[in-house]
Amino acid sequence: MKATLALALTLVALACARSAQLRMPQVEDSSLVEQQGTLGAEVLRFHVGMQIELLEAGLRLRRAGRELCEEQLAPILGILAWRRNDLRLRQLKELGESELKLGDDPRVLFVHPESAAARAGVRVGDLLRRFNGERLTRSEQLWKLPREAGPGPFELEIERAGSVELLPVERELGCRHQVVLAESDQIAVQPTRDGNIVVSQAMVRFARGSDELAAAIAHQMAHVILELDRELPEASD
Amino acid sequence: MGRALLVACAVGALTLPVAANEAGEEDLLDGVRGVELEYEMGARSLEMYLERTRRLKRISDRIRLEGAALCGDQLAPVWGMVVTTASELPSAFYYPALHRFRIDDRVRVVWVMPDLPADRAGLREGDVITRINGERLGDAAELREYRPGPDETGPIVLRVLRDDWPLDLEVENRPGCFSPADLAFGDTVNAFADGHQIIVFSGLMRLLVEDDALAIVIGHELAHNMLGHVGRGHQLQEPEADYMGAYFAARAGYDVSAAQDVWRRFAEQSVYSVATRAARSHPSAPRRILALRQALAEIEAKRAAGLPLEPEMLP
Repeated sequence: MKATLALALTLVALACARSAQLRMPQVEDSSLVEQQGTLGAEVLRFHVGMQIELLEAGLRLRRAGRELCEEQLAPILGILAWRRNDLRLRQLKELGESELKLGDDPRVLFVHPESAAARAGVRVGDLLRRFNGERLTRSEQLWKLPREAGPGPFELEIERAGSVELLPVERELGCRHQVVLAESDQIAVQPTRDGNIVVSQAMVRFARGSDELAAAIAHQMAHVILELDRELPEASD
Repeated sequence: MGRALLVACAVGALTLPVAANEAGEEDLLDGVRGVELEYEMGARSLEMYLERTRRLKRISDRIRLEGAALCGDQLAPVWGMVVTTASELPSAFYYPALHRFRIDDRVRVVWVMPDLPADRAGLREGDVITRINGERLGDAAELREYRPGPDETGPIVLRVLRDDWPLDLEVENRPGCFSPADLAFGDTVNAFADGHQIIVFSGLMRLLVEDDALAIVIGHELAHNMLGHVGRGHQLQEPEADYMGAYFAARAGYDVSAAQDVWRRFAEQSVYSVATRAARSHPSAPRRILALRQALAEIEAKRAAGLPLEPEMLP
């Protein structure tokens, strides 16, 4: 008797587990869209925050380490600028438009206060249009064009509040290694084949303060600098 | 002199700094003091691991006990202690575990939670458990997942060795939802249920420092196990686990509203999860936040009305 009951209960339990068992409150589509917007905005800002942290650490190390980098130098502008298409997902592109006012031209999200760009008068919100006369249509131009340019100051054409300005930006050299963010949740700082340093977002969270973060980045930069005997290939995107 | 040259060759033109000990003699950093440092760091890592295990046990055992009414007959005794053996730890911990916590290949009690059955029965840190109701104990997992028969509601007798002296201790069978939670090494911000236990990675514990937040995740995974989800699949498993998980956390006294933040933080890990369903077929983060808010409203309403905190079942 007990065995049959137990068997019956087990069968019922098994049957129940095959489909939904709980009556859950419904989520309305309109609320969902709104929440997507709110969360998306928060997450975007958080990401920009991390990018800024890395730019700050990177710029400081690259400038101060100039003498240690010998031939491995490149101009550093000190600007974080994004285009709408820098965010890959459609919904994020839309958020980029509404929250950060991103469009086809790179928009300045951050200017490092000690950078050549800051000294030239570049400000947050500026749209970057041309670099040394060349129209900026791809994000990689922001770091490639300065490296390809000859000596002397750069000419940066910006648009601010509807009017166009030409800003001369000093060609300030520092170590060529860019510090780049990766989404991985592994705590890692690694050099790439093209001489950049990739820092995972888990590492940015893990480091207690900018000193710890900088120490980890500096270690990797040292690896890249010391492994000098091979030609560093041209950086890929 | 010879060793210094070797070092110089290995790293190019650098001269490494060498440390001088108290007698003023130089010795390279990877000598005896290097081994000591390695031991110290292993010991500290082990301490951190044990601290996380204690935290995980504290929260999960509470949730299991307070959630018993939701788990029908899927119950098991909740001991209120952490046990382990050397084989469960990474090899780097071998010596610190052995010297500081006497962890070897036997089932050793590493922590006893106050006021729960193990504590009340007189179990102590350092005890080795050898038998359970007369049967020889194979490994720590056997103890964690021990489920007596439905008729065996009386106390469970554990034989322990304390300073090599055998003692039989009677431990109250306090039933809680059956699946225990255990810690796994890994930076990955993840936790999963496998049908009979819950595994939480240290990466997740590092991200969710607040107990309320961790409780939401544990509740979610416990719900998967209790609803029999593992090994079967249907579309609504993840929302169901979120919904029931909220009830588990609330019943155990955790602040469910504080936990909406959890999905935002997970979303920060991966910007793209904001809009899409993540690979593991979880709902998108915004959907989970909204669903959690509504579950919370439902829970608050029941609390205000003095009703039992139980999720709504389908007929």
